[in-house]
Amino acid sequence: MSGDNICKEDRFNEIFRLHSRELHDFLYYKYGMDNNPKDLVQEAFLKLWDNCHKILPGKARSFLFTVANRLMLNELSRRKTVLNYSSKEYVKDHNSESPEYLMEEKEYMEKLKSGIENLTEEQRIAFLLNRIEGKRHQEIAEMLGISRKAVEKRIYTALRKLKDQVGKI
Amino acid sequence: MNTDQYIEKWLNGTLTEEERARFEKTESFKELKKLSDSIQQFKAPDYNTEAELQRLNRNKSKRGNQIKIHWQKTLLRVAAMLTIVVGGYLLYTYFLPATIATSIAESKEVLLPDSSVVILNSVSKITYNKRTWERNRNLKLIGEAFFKVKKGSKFDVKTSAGTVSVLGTQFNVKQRKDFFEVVCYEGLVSVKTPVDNNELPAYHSLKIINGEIIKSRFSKESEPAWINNESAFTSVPFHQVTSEFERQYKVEIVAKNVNMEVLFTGRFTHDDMILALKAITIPQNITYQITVDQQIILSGEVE
Repeated sequence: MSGDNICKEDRFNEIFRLHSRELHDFLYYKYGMDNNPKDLVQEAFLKLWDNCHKILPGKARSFLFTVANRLMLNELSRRKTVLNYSSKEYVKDHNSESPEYLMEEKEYMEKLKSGIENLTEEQRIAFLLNRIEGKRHQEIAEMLGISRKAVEKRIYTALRKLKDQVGKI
Repeated sequence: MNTDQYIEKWLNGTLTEEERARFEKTESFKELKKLSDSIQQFKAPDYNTEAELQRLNRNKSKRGNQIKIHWQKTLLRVAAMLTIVVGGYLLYTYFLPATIATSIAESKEVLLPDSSVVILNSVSKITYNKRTWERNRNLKLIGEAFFKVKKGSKFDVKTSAGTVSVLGTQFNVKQRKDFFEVVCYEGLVSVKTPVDNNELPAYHSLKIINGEIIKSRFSKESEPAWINNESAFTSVPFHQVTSEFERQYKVEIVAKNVNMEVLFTGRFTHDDMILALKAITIPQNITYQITVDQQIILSGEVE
């Protein structure tokens, strides 16, 4: 990656393809569905475009994340944190399970959903980036601009809270 | 090592093989595994990069226009303000009248925009609007001026004593203290005073001295004497003569024992003060005395 201008259409599109999904998922995990992570991604990239002459390709990613977070902070109507779960991968054959089992499963997932939504943004983002996206502690630390130890603490605290939420099996 | 420690290490991925094997047998681990597995169902929804990129590019061009429009609006506002300021200034200067004045012993010739000529005598002033002249030929006069008016629309000379209107002619207007005189050399002149209207053909003059109107005829002269550096008077109160003298020479005249109301007929030159003094004093049997600080004392006969 040379120091070439990201104001060039091709270059800019390349950067979009490189970082958009990651940014989207990040915003989804942190702020939830109802705060329109897709739109936030659009706005962040538009801001990047506006400032394209000022930003080196290597700094684009951190710029995008910073801008997106700032956009959220400035947002006047902040909506509730809502995260959804799918059941596609873990659907067992419904016919083979008893209704009670299915209902228990449903309850469990609902409690887990509630638990996740009630975590602090910092706890949630660290935890989900680690557990779902498989990102390492160090990587998360760099993304969030905190220490590795802080990341570990947040993940641990998140887990404890979720355990309390879902209770024993 | 307690459960929490196992969990911590498990989270960090720092369990040894042995610890791992032991931990996996526990109830806590089962709970942990279930939770961890269930969490996977909260994976972020699919993101269609290409579709979103297209959307971005659409937004980009839309916004580009908006920014352009914003700058255009700003530019327009700035241009509008500048136009108002410049326009206001131009309008102001457009209507600002031109003023030409003469001081003592000075005479000026002014060419008006329509090629009419005004020759100003000393201590006189005209005011007129250059820009609107073609449409509206009117000017204000204080003092004395000779006019050669090009044929055209109505030409008005406003003085405090009356207004002189012509269509194309040559005339002299003299407005001094208690003295108003219009002499027509050519054409027809209309003189409007607070009292009445008068039509003056060529070689006629109208005088208002101390409120009294005097019309008279004179022999052919093409222009007033003062244009040729001479002041001429026909039956004019003497104080008018001395006032004109003061205007042509930078002096102050003090009269002792002199009747200033005597009507004077005669002329004096602008080019030689002694000669001029003689011209006005000898006919009246007046003696003069020139003092150091530009003062002339006229003394009349002791009766």
